[in-house]
Amino acid sequence: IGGHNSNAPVSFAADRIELQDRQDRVVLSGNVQITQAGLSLSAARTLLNYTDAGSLKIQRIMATGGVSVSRGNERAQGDSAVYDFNRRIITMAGNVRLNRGSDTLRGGRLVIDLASGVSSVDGAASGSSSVTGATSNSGGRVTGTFSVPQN
Amino acid sequence: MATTHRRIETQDAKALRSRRQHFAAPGGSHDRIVGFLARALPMAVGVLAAVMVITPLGPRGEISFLLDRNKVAMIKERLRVDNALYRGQDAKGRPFSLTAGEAVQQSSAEGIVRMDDLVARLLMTDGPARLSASAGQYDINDDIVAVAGTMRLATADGYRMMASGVSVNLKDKTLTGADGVEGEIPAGTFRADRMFVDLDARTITLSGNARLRMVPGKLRMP
Repeated sequence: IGGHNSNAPVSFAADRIELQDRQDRVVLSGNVQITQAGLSLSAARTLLNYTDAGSLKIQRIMATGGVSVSRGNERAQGDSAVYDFNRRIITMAGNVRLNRGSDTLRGGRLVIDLASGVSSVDGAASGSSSVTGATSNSGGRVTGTFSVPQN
Repeated sequence: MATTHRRIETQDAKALRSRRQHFAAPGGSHDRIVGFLARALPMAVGVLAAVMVITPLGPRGEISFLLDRNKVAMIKERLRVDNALYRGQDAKGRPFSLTAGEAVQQSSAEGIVRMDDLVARLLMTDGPARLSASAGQYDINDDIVAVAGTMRLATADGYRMMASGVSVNLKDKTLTGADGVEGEIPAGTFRADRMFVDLDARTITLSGNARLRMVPGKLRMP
C-alpha cells in the first residue's frame, strides 16, 4: 500500500488553528484531524512548517498528544509523530502500537515509509540501527501478534 | 426773463450779431432747446420711475428669485458624500485613509457611516497596504469597519488576504470575525466560527471548528 502522494492537498480540522505567516508555521490544537489523500492523522496538538518562496511546500508536521495515523487498513498509534514531507516518512515514538488488519505490533518507535509502504517498528524509543541492532539503552522489546490463516 | 415779447432792434443791428451771439440771443435755438428740456426731463424722470415700479411686477419671468426652504433639494440623512475621503491615525500614529464611492450617515445619534466600495489605505511595518471591500459600515468613534461581504487586503510585498464576515479595526490593524468567517491567504483557504487576525504580524487565529486546506505546489494568490 505504498506510493502515497505527499504533494496532494492537505486539509486540517481542529478546534483552534493559528497561522503564523511570517514564521511560515501553522499551530493546530484541540482534536486535530489532518487528512491527505487517504492518509489521516489525528492528534491533540500539531505544528506544521511550510515554505512559500515561489511555491508552497510543506516541510513537516509534528504531532503530539496521543497521535494516531491511519491509512487503508493500517493504523498506528503513539505518543508523538513527525511526518517529514521531503523524505516522505512518518516517525512515531513513545509506546507505539501498529495494527494492520488483524495483526498488531508494539514497540518503542515506528517508522512508516510512505513511498514503499514498509513500516518498521523498533524496540527502543530512541531507535537503533537495523544493521547492527545495537540500541542506546537496554529494554525496549518489540512484541507482536500475527494471525495465521486457518487453511 | 421770459422771451415772450419781441425786442426792438434794427435790421442792421441784427446783421451785425455774430453766430455765437445769434446762438445766445433770447428766442434763439439754445433757448428753444433749454425750454424743451425744462419740460421734457421731469416727464422722463416720471416715466422712468413708473417703469422701474411696474416691470418687476410684470408677468414676463422672474429676474430675482427667492430661496424657498421647502423647495430646495433636502436629504433625510445627516450626511451623504460621494467619493468620500476620511483620514485618521492608527494607534501608533501612522496615518490611514478611508475612501468610499458613497458614504451615508443616517442620523447623528449613531456614529455609523454606511459606505459602498470602500478602500482603506494603511501603513504597515513593511510598507503600505490596501484593503478594499464592496460595502461596509464604519464606526467613527472607534474606527471599526464592519465589512459586508468579502474584504481583500493587498500589501506592498505581494501578500494577499481575502476574508468575509469580518470587521476591520483600523486603529490597531486587526480583523475580528465572530459568527462564521472564511478566507484565503497564499498558503491556503480557511474557515472557522471565530477569527482574530493581526495584520501587522500576519497571524491568523481561528477558533471554533476551524478548517484549513493547503495545496502544495503553485502559490494561489487570493
